[in-house]
Amino acid sequence: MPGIQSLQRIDGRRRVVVTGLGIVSPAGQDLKSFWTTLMQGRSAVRNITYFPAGTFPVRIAGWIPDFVFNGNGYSSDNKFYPDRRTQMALSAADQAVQDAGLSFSRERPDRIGVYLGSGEGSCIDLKALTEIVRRSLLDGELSEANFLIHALAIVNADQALKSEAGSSPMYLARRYQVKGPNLNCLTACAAGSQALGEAFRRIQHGIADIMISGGTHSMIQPLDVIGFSLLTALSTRNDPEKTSRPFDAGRDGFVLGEGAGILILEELSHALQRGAHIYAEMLGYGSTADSYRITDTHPEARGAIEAMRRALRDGETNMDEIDYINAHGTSTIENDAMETLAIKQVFGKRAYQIPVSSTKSIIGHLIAAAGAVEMVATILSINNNQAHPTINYEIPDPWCDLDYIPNEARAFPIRKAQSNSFGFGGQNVSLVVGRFDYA
Amino acid sequence: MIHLSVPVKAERRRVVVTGLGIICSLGLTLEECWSAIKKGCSGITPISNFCSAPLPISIAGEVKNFAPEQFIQNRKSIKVMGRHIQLAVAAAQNAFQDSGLELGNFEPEQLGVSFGTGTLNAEYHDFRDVLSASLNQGELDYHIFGKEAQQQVFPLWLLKYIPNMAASHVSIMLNARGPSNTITTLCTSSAHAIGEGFWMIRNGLADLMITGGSDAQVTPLGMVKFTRLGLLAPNGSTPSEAGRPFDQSHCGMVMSEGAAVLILEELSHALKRKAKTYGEIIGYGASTDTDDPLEAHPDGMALEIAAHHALQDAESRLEEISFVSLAGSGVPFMDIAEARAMSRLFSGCACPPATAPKSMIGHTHAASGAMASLVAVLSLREGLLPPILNLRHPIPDFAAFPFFPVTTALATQSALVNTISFGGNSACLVFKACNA
Repeated sequence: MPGIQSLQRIDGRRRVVVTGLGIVSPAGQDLKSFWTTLMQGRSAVRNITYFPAGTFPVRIAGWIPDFVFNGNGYSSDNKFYPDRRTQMALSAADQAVQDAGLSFSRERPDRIGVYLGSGEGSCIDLKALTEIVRRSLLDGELSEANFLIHALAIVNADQALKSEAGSSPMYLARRYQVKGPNLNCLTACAAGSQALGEAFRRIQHGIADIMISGGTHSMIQPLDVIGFSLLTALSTRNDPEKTSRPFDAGRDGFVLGEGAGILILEELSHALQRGAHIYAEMLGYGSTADSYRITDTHPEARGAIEAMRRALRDGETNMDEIDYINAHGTSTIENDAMETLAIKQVFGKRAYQIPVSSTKSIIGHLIAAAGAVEMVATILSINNNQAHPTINYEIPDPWCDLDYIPNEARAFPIRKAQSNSFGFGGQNVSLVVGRFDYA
Repeated sequence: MIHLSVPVKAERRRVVVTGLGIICSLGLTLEECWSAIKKGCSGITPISNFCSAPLPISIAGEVKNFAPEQFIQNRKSIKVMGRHIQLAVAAAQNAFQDSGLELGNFEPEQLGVSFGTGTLNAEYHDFRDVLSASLNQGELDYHIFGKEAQQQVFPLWLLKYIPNMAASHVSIMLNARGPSNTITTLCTSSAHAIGEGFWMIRNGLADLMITGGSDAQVTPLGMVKFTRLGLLAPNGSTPSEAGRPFDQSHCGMVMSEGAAVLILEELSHALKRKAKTYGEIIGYGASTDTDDPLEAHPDGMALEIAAHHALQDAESRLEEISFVSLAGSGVPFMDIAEARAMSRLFSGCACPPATAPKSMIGHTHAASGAMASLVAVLSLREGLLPPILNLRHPIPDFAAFPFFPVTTALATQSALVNTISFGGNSACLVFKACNA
């Protein structure tokens, strides 16, 4: 049995494997349909009908019209009834836990933690705020005093608390009665990957044996859509299936998406002892800041390069071992050129031989959840020796000259893969993951 | 590459605190704040930053006379910072100066940021005009809103509130290109962030980490939210006496705002550059209750586990803890849970004396763990313990813990710092005096 005898790395760090996957995404709400849609290269971006978006500059998103929450033990009138992104996290986590075959009653609850990259719920309850404004106007003016009087009557504090970014991992802890560390990081679009990296470290260093980790986010809300539009980050092309086109010369912004990806990370010997199915091994994690500008990435991709190098070093992985890269690939002019440059700087000439694809071409940008959902895709690629395409790739861009697996899925041996996530503010995260039996 | 061997416990890298920065209701500088704490001052006053008259509870720990342009050179960037970000950047700037580091004399890739911040700090000012323009027969008209919002909302509005922007601005200002993380776990955020930053250095991922947190919820919506949650102490006749953690008359928390930053540094790195060292961080532990997603266990089960793990991580015995810095918010059920957890933790030995910084500063939420850590480090260094303000008749669960009405000299070795958040999410840190 090659590769499974050694439980530690040479430096004493424990090995960490992935034993369960769960997904709620625009491309499917279970692993099988998610993978099928990705392999078919079928766009999952739709017109927004979640709210009347007719006059909004952006009217399309990778949203999930048929997402149904099974209640998870909460009746809809319970004050703790979770909001949409927590519902998605719970649904994905239930899949992952079941997939991993975990029975929590057999485990030490303080050795199992939760580390999520969850976004906030709707950042402000627009309807409630409107009602406060309306009543204030009836009183004569929009003064602070009038606002306060009506806000005291209308604001639902329980709902505000539930919407906090840090509440999603608390719901997961309660669901599985796990008492280990409970954290949430919110590093913009890098959060899901960052959570996985940090959860991985905890197990490596013996702080926990199992971590429930990943990301969740749902920003298909009027204010969020307006906020991103005003930052000119979103494409206003509004052609649902054609707008997200990473690395294509005609790209002009990203498409918002929603969903959750949850992974069960487990210490190797723990997984072996209980005979768990092992999807992949988590190998390396790197996090850096650009230290450049809050909205623009560094022109020489210095933070991205350093994050990728750190992840490779951390994973004791040579450059020539990476068979596939799941790109951040947002479909913005700036990101895709910058990321291409970073890959070329890290891998040199070999960059042209490594197939790269962007999951966002198919499902849009899931913000805090993006990295986690894309890690699920990356692990499925390793398991199937197939990678999904970058769709809508039509016109080559001289600044983006790598092999982006255009439009058609491809079969090739994938032993180790790298997944990138970059966020506003110059957040860079890179993860390296590998087939478990490679050694 | 991978060997079949029992892991040899590598010599752990040690981590010291080499810079401090704080802005809170007690002052705008470290000196001001620390001297106020030693005097047992309270920062709680009637709210003056906005017209709070209609609120039933209108006292808070506001940061007074804060002018961001005094701290932030790039004036243009101030416009895209929410108040919590301005406070964080200012405190980080102060801590950096205090540490003796200078731009250009450290390796940027070895300097990281680990912050805990509040979220959802958006305010109604941002949307007041667009919403009143979007009313149609008393209802929000999305068609009007879609058009008006593009004209009337500040284009960079989102950037003012995205949680990782504090870390981002700090990384730009101080050339920090190493690991960067932003934790959003409400009242435990900055304790988590300091613990995570500590582990990053110990595990060799950075030599220097800018850690801490900030929050600014003394705003119309913030006050309304906490009033409606029923957690705030009533005004009473004297604002400074509203917060009474562990006293039999305790009746709620007092809202506050601010930022606190600790520069953590690997010991040999600090020695090499002859940095002043305030203290050493030696332990971190975290746990959570699981009864309700947002309500804590009445006996503080998670806090006990977190404290236990932090002590284990520190390889410290209970007897080495010279004092405990309590989360002590003044909310009765939280005080009781914490007192019970600490009584069980110290059941095998004499209970150490306790302090509760929130009795002076108020509850700064995401920043509170960093505030308490900073106070603990300075107390260890100077061999004294600040008081618990307004504590006269302790609740029965707290009876075994000594406390002082005024700052008192104490032989100090190590300190345990507690934080508890909604749902009983708990994080504990252990600090040690440098000469101990």
